[in-house]
Amino acid sequence: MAGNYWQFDLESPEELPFLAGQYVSVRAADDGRRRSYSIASVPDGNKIELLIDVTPMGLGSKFFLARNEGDTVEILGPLGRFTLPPSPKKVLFVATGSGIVPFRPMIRELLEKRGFTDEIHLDWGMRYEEDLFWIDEFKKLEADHPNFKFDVVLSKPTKKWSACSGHVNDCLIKHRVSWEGWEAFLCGNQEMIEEVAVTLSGLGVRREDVHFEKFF
Amino acid sequence: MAVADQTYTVGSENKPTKTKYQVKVINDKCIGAASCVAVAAMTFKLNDANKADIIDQDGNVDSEKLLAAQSCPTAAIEVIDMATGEKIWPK
Repeated sequence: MAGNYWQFDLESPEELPFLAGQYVSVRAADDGRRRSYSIASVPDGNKIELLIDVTPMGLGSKFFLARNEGDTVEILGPLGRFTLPPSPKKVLFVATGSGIVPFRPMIRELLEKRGFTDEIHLDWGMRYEEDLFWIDEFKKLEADHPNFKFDVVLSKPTKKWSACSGHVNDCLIKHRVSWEGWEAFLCGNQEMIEEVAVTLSGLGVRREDVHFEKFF
Repeated sequence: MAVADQTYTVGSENKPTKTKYQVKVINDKCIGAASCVAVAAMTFKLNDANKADIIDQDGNVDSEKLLAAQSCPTAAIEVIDMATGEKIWPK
């Protein structure tokens, strides 16, 4: 996809029902060690997409980099409860790095399947511009759906970068003085989740309206 | 790339009488992802604090308890073989 981010398309012999935001556990070693990956695609019959950040070059990275087209992998799933409620409020998604993955199907489900018309805001923090992916897709969603707003925040921008820079936390404060009445979904590194949860609490978001996935 | 062995286990159909693996939840590591509940629903449940609790050590067969531990994204479940005292998981 870009930089150290790779997309893998998996096809199951059977229907693979799941909810946007869920993950699968992939058997990554013969001794039973597994790694968890959020599903990057919207529910679509027997296919799923996984987005793997191979930067850590750990067990999961090496396992996927060693796969060839047509190989078989064993997955367990769908798993997880980081999913959309039946009737969300205005929705804020905050991600860093590959934490964007569960939000892609969640946002597409809200906009394209549910016809959600209330506001949706996505803040995505990355280090470098060259690592960005799915930008055209999010821009198209933004163009097609006036209620969807999308911002990228770079922590290591070049001089020509004119959008938000720093941490996602900084960008949130710039956008609004209050996020009261919003429901927030956070996914990414643990420090970000803790910082943003505190920030949002100070900006009017109720604790029970902040949902997060911490296993990145 | 193809997918094999997708598993949708929700607990043993025949409750085992006695299992040899004992499971233990490391509370600080548990993030409430609930993979253990999906894999071994008769052994684990989530409590009000969104942490996994053990409801019955013999609720699922050993292989399901081990898979529940292996599928935990934060390795928050330990598996001990009660016959030998060996820690089976994490290795």
